[in-house]
Amino acid sequence: METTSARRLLAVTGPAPDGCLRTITARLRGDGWELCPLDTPGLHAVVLLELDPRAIDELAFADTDEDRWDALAEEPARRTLGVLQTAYRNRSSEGTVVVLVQPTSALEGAAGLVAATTGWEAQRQLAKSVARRWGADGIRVNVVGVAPDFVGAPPPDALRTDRASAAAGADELASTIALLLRPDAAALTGATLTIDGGALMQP
Amino acid sequence: MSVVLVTGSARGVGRGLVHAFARAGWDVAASAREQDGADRLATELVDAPGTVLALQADVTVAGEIEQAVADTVERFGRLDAFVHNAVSHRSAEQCAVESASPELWEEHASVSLRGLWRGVRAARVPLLATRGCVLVLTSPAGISGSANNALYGSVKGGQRAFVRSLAREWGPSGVRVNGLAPLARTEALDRAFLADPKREPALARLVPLGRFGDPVDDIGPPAVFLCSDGARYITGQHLVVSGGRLTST
Repeated sequence: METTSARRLLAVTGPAPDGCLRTITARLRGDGWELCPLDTPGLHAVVLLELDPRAIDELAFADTDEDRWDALAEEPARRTLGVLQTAYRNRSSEGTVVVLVQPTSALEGAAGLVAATTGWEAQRQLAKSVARRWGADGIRVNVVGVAPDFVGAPPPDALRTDRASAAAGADELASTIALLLRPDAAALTGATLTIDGGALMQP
Repeated sequence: MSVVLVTGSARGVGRGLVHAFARAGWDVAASAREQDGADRLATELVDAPGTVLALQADVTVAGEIEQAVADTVERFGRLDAFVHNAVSHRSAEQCAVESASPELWEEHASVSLRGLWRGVRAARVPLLATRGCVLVLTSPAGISGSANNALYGSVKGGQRAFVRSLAREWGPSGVRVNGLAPLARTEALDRAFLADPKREPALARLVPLGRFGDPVDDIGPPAVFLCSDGARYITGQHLVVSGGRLTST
């Protein structure tokens, strides 16, 4: 644990398209966040991007061998556990905010993405559990869901919308992350915000 | 006669499922990590309308659940439902997620994720032949998260997405995929209550019906329904059987 400081330390980690990563980090720097490695003591915020375009390549369940299953369904959850544990160890005494970003595919299900959606939902539930457990330690954890086409995949039929033009781009994602990191979002934890132009509208 | 294979059937919810299916007239392949557990179940149900075939299969060991599926089809001639109920023997163990070990994650994942993948893959061909169904026993912890059992909540959440996605993928082939999230009085829950006596009344207060579900009489019948023709238009869904513990899912 660190001493109180005016600096606001942010770590951004996880797979994401380069352009998306640049947009997010530029926006958050502009808001006064100082980027640093995940193992920096006194972290005020951690953004975990799970936006690997390769994960959204369709793969029939019958063709999913054990290595692919592990890479898509289990390794992401192990990685998330490691990131969350590191964030906890390096949390700030002033409070720490964690934001997990992932496609919404797991919320609705998607043919050809059984393994990937299993991994994403395992991550999301892990985030919700630690939000429950670490709230008393001043740690907030939220999830942002982006439309599958955000990472370059066509949306599944169930998520097609005539409002596709309203689906989020990297700028909107960066703004949503910035919103979740603000002190006046202090009561927001364990939530999942979907920024997909209204395609999903969770029940 | 319909045929179901239930994994992790020796005790708890699994035992309840086998009882319910056999009493409803299904032929049941009851698989368990230890042969004794499955044998015991077959003995208990020797007079039931359905026949119980006791099989040894550890879903974490490559080849064992595949063999159990093959043995089921050989004995009964078909497979109409595959029920993944197996969980790690540490599933009810409370853990501090901030210091949880990779080994504990592996305990959960090897059964609830990889074991699920392995079992459903093994059952695919016989289920396609009968336009059958998959039922995955999930958990309320996989819906709302769990402060003290985060790894269990994580793998159970993963199973929920597995159900949704596979239902979409296999629907065109006529194979249904659903989940059931029970709150049941099991030996594992009893052990957890023994370790932390304050937990039982605290949890009971959250259940509108005021009690924990009985694996045979409360959890079994909804599972049988989801695998029956009466549920033939239901797929990709999760039925929460929790006495009202969870109402927002």
